Order: sequence, then C-alpha cells, then structure tokens
Amino acid sequence: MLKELLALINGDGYFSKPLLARTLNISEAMVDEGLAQLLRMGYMKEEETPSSCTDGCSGCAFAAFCHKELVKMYQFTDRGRALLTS
Amino acid sequence: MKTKRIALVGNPNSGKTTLFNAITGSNQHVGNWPGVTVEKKEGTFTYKGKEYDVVDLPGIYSLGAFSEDEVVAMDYILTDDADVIIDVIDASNIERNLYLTTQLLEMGKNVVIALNMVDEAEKRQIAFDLEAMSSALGVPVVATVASRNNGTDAIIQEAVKAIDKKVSYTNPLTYSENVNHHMQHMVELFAGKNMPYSPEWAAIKVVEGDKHIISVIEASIDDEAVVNGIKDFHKFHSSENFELEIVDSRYAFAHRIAEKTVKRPEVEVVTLTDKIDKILINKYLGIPIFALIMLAVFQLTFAIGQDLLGGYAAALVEWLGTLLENFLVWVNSPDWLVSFMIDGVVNGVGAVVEFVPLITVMYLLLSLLEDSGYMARAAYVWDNLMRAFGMQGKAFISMIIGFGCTVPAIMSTRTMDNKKDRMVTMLITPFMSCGAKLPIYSVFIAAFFSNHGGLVLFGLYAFGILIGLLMAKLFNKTLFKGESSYFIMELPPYRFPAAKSVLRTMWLHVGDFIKRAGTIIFLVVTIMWLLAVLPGSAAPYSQQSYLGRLGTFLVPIFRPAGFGTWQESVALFAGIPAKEAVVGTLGMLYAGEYMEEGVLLVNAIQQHFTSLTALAYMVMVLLYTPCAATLSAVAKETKSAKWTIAMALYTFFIGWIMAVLVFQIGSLFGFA
Repeated sequence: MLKELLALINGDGYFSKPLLARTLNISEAMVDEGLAQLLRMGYMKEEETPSSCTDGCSGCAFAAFCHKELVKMYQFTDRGRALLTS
Repeated sequence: MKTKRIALVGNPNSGKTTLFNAITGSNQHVGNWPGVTVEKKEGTFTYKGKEYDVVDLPGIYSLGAFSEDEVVAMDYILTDDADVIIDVIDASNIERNLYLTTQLLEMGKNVVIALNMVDEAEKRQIAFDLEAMSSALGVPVVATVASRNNGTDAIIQEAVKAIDKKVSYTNPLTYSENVNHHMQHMVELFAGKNMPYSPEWAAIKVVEGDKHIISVIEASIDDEAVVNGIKDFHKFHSSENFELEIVDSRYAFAHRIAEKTVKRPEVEVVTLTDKIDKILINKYLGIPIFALIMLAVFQLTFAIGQDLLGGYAAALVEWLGTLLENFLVWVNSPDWLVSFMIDGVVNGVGAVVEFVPLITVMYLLLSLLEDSGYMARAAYVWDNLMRAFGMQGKAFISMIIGFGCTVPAIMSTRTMDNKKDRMVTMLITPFMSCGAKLPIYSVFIAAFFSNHGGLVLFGLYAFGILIGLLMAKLFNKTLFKGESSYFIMELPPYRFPAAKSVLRTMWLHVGDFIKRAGTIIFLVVTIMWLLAVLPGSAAPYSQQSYLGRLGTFLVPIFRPAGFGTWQESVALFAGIPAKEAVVGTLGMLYAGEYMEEGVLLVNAIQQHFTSLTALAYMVMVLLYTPCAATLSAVAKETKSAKWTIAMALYTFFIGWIMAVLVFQIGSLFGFA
C-alpha cells in the first residue's frame, strides 16, 4: 500500500485524501496512516506552510494575516525519490 | 498464587478506557508509569469467584518507539507481564486498528479482540463476519459496545478462557522473499543465544531497523558475533527499504482481513468534488477560471462596497466632519486646531476611513473563497504556472498573503528552505497589491472609471502579478540561478464556508485597516499637515509651505509620467511610510486648496488628473517602493541593508518606468 500511495501522491503534483482512498480502495483513515508512515520513515517531509511563521504570533502586529493554513505541502526526500524510481 | 493479569491495548478513541471502566467498575486506581508522565490505570474484577488484575495501556496506533506512549505499551507487552491482551478495535475504523493487531500477532502474543463500538459501525451500514475474522486472525473476536456495557461479560469470559491457553509462536504475516531471507539469517544468528525476545520477532525488528529494540538486544546480549552481525546487516543494507516492506506487509494483512470479513456500503467512485476539481484545476482552464472568479470578486466589491455602501460611509464622514467643525467653531477653537481637525483628520484620515465598506466586501468575498477550499486549488493551479517562471508553489501562498499585507508575506518566506526561492519571492511580493493600496485605486476609479471599476481593479491586480512573474523570471535567469523546490499539495475537501470563520477572517483585515487609519495614517497625515501649514510666513497648503517645497523638488521626477503637480508628487512620498497616506495626503491638500468651495476628493482628482494620468498614477502606486514596514521586514529577513535599499530603489524604478510607459504610450494613441 505504501509504495502505491507514494506513487499516487507523486502523480499530478497534488493529491486529495478521499481520492487516494477511493483509488486504493481503503479508508481515508488508512490514507492518513499511510501518509504518517511515509513521513515517519523519511520518504516524504511535510513542509511548514508560509502561513505560519516560526516566531509565533505573540506580539506580532501582523498576526491577523497569518491565521490560516491555506494548503498543506509535502516534498519527497532523496529516499522517497529513490523509491519512486526503483 | 499470582493474580492473573489482563492488559487492554488499542488505538486512541477505540473506546479502550470505556471498556476498562466497564470491566473494573469502581475498582481502579490511577498512577504514572515509572520514569515517564504517561498515566497508568489499573483495576481489578472478579469472575467466577476469582480476582483478576486489569491494566489500561496508553492508546497507540502501533508498537514502535516513536512516542513515549508507544514505548510504555511496547515495553509492557514485551515483559510478558500480562497473561492475555485484550486488543480493543474501533469497529468503524477496522483496517487502521488492525495494524496494531498484526504487530501483536507478529509478537506471538495471547490476544483476544474486542470489536468495540459496533453500534456506531452498524449505523454506517458496516457489517462484520466475526467468525471469519476470528478464524483469519486465529484469535477470539467479541463484538462489544463498552459504553452500554454490551459484550463486556463475553469479552471477560473469552479473556479468562484465553489465559490458560498455550500459545506457540506462529506469525500469520507473509513478507517478501528478500525480507524473509534476511530474517532467516538473523534467526540463525540468534539461535541458542540468551535473547530477551523470541528470535523470530527479534529478527523482524532488526530487519525492520527498530532502533529501540536493537539497542535493547545489543545491551542485553553479551555476544560480539550477534552485535557485529546486526551492525553489518545495517551497514550493507542501509539503502534498502526493508522497513517499508515489513510495514507494507502488515497493511496488506490488515487489508486482506478487512476485505474478507467486513462489508461496507458502496461508495461513489467519482464524487462531486472530483467532478468540480476536473474543471477547476484543469491544466488549461484553471488559470482562466481563477481570473474569472477574481474578476467577479472585484466587480462585486465595487458594486456592493462602493456603489451601494460607499456613499453612506462618505456621508457619515462628512456629517461627522460638519458636526466637529460646528463644535470647534462654537467653542471658539483656534484656527490652527480647526484646520488640523477638519483638513488633516476629517479630510485626511476620513478619506481613508470612507473605504471601510469596500475593504469589508472584498475581504468577505476572499474569505468565502478561502474557506470553501478554492484558494488551495488556486495555489495548485498557480504552482504549474509559476514553475514556468522558475518559482515554486509556496511563493504563491506568500503572494496571496501579500494581497492582504506585504509584511507577513515577506515573513512567510522564512519557511522556504531554498535561499534562491526565498530571495526571489521576497523581491516580487511587493508587486502584489496589498489592502492599503485599495483606497487609492478606489478614489481614482470613482473619479474616472466608475463604470468599469471591477475590471480596472482586476487589471491592476493582474498587472502586479504579471510584473512579479516577469521579474521572478529575470532574477532566476540572472542573480539567482538554480533549481526550485518541487512540492506536492494536499487539496482539502470543498466545504460550505462557516459564517464564524469567514467573518473572523474578514474582521481581521477590516479591523487592521481601521486600526492603521487611527494610528500610522493619523501620524503621517499629522506630519504632512504640519509640513503643509509651516512655515508661518507661507500660505497654508501653498507651494511655499515645507510640503510644497518638497513636492516641487519631486515634480521633475514624475512629470514624464504625466502627474506633474507638487501635491501628487508629495502624496506618493507620503505613501512610503504607509500607502493609505497617499489618499489621506491628497484629501488634506485638496481640501486645503479648495477650502472655500467644499470640493470632494473625487472631484478634486478629476480637476487635477486625466483618465490617462490617473491610470499612470495607479500603476505607480501599484509598483513603486513598498511601505516602511515592508522595508523593515525585508531588512530583518535578509539581514542586509544592501538588499533593503536595492528593493526600495528597484521597485521605485519599475513603478516609474511602467507609469511613464502608460502615460507616454497612451499619449501617443491620443488618450492624453
């Protein structure tokens, strides 16, 4: 499942969990689980999205503009890319 | 004789603690696991006159050493302290929960399964074949609803029965040939050694690369051959994906069991979200659809925020101004105070405040788009386009933040690992039109383009993006060569925007706008007013005032762009501390100039500009030097005075060139 999941995520430059779940005939919870495993094993890494700054919002005059995560982004690690090409 | 002990294990939210409470009733106590802050719940129950101990292990998804909870649970299970383990499975989420079950079976543990919350699963039309599940897993399976005490007696009965069962190690999982080969090698290496675990399970964990278990084996075994064997294995096979293969084998096993024993309702193969996404994120349609949506946003912004509500805001500011002026005259206030309050505050700051309805509508619409999940699709659609300009998708998120305010947009680039991407994004973000520029466009649009307000506004935003992308391409080809990072985006499901969330987002922007009007804009307008009425020897608001002299000095710079009066020049200068101050300063200066005539700002602008110079002025405002707060953010983020000055100068130059081009080309075509 994990290899297929990785390949599907790589497919179009985007993914949605419901679509992955239907394609792999598994539940969305399983997609979450698989994604968590791929991240833990170091095949992918979750990117900090630009809407969250590392210093936190306390005291920042511009915190109002940084309140939401617009989209989650991931990146394949060298290990992930190697697995995809293997 | 030692009291028999039952351990409860399961995923978080599987109802494990509810089952523990149902089994033990009030006979329980809470403590901590030694050395950690993880809560330990223990209790007892009596069955057929015999007392049993029960321990509730922390909720975990797997038996690894990735969290304190997992280490506690794994160590407890491995010590063989429990005579039987009740594995509590959430019946609605069986496949995911079975992963932990497969690990328990892999360990060769004495397991009884409580398939819990079956009532919830049945409501979702999920049916189970308990007999088949029990047979496939090789352990008893009991359906329970712990919250209603259903099945509690049956699970106790099965657990007690299993206590005396003789368990021999049989691993029901199958692994790849490669993994099997290495596991066999490890089993041979461990054979006859005094191991803390069964050689078969230890072999799985070593091949899987479980650092926690390997360290326990290495610490407990005094055999150099074994320690070196493990080290050599990892040295020579570091590039292989054994962990993934083993984890995948567990998922495959859990999937097979679920396929065989669980019946779910049929799901739609293609959902509405898929159908919508096929259009909205289509390679060719995505960008035009985004453009159409934004055009509609700007049209609605003008239709509602300006045409429908704008008049009320202007009338309110005017009414308050008259009220204040009458009051000041009534209390015999000095002329300078009346001048400051009316020309400076009311006509200056008030000119900015009049645009609150416009700002409100625009951010309400953008918040609706954001909350619906569309903006995430827009980021994906833009990612494709931006790659053509050497940028990455993350830059689009910074650009979207920049439509609100450039400062957080600059700060948001911190999350980019790639320095090249970060610098280029910082350098182009000021071209995204921030909310502070909106009042400037609005007043010029109201003066000259009121019939096509949305279209002009859309054109300005689009032009800013275009200039940003072209500059990005230029920077990528010259100063910042190299590969951009490639990202995969997770698209959230579409959802109906929640009123609370939308209103909150909208208010964050509107509140900030009002706050700025009362602080920075007030301060800038006050300084501008002082400069406009001093020295005392010069007529107020005249070319001989300090402000007039400064403006006159700047006039030759802007004359090629068509706006060659000192008021227009000095207003652009005032826009560097804060962009809204352009409108505030024009409002104050024109009010001073037309003091006797009571001319509105829009009318004054019509007398000073033509539609072509107004367009050139808006282009200048769109692109020229960002505000002081942005420059300060750039200085902080780049830690470079050189880059900060470079940004201030290059953006001014780009703005000036474009404004001059608009005016000169327009003049050539006879629009002057």
